[in-house]
Amino acid sequence: MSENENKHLDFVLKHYREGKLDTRKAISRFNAEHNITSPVTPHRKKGRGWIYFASGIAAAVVLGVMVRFVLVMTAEVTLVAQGAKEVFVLPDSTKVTLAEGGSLSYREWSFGKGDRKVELTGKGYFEVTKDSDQPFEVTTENSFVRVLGTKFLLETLPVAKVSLYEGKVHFARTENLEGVILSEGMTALIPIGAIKPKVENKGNPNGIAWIRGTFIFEDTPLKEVLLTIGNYYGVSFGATDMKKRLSGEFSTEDLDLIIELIESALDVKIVKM
Amino acid sequence: MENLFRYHYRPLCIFALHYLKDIDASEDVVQEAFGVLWEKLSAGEKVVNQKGYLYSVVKNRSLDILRKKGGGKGSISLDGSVEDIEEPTVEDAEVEARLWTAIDTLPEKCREIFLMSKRDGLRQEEIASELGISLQTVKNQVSKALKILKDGAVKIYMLICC
Repeated sequence: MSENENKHLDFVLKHYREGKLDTRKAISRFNAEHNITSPVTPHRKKGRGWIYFASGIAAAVVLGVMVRFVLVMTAEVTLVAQGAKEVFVLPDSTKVTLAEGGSLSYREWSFGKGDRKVELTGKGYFEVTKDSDQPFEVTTENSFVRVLGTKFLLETLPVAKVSLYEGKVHFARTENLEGVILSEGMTALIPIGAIKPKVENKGNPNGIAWIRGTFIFEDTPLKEVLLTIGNYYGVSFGATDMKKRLSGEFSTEDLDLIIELIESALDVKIVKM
Repeated sequence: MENLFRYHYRPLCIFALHYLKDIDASEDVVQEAFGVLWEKLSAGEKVVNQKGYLYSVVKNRSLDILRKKGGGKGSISLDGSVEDIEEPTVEDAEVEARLWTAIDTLPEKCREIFLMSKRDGLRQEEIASELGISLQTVKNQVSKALKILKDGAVKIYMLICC
């Protein structure tokens, strides 16, 4: 080992203690201190049930839930994504993709029989089956979305944010407050403390990169490209020419490969910072 | 936020450790830094370079703590005053965080022997008699650990260069 490497190793060894610097513990502590409901922890409301599902097979989900809660009329079903993402199909055929740690709950006895109300924590992408008699309603800790039939992404952290991919939604702080109507290609978020959502007339094609498995760019400035990819992986980048523009679709699987491809496509040098 | 934790928590802690020389205090400072970032994001503010922001908060808080400690005459001086500290770089912290992780992932027995030898400064004969194993086993385990860590380190340097 070189002198430099030895220096690093000596430093680490001097302070190394087993079980310290545990990132998972740190995340739990952070969530606890900032009152972030950790979606993996089941709710403790009375009469509320929860189940972990290994797969997103609709029949198994519905059947499993029914068997477990057939006698408990007030039971709530809570779906939790434990993997990177998990797809669930609700009784009305609405498809919900939850990001890791995200959870969704609904009242089994009334869902689809009078209402279509669900509660979300974390991040979820909804493809809602059309039903003009029964609006589909999502509530989160501090926001409310009502739709008829549409595709949208709802994020709850750090603030509630909706991105529309198809159709229209009504988005408000809570059910009773004045909201905004969003249509395809729009996003809106509710800053902490704000009453009304803030609308942005621009789409969020890469909001669902984690579902699609690809980033899509259309004549996008490199600066924005790197910001999108950086946010996805939690890193930041510098480049020799931020003004160049990129078009194309890139798999989210391999960060180093994406960077290589962009470098050769645009003839720039990109560095991780 | 969780991804930020996953990528930067350990390096940030190691970064703080260079200033504070105390693992628990370092973890506290890093928690605080994430909290500050969280407040900003919650207020709807945009933070373009989140990583850079975290490092600068960690550095400033660490220096604050050192100043407070070094202030009074009878206060405990850990490893000297602020001036004695070699400024850590983000790259140092990232390399060291990977070494830390590499030690974490060593097989248990191998790690135990390695730490006794290199961290606690025990002689290999002492380790052998304490654990009731042969001297050769101790030697083997230590060199195995070094090799694993070294291979890890080479990968790290390649990543940085590329």
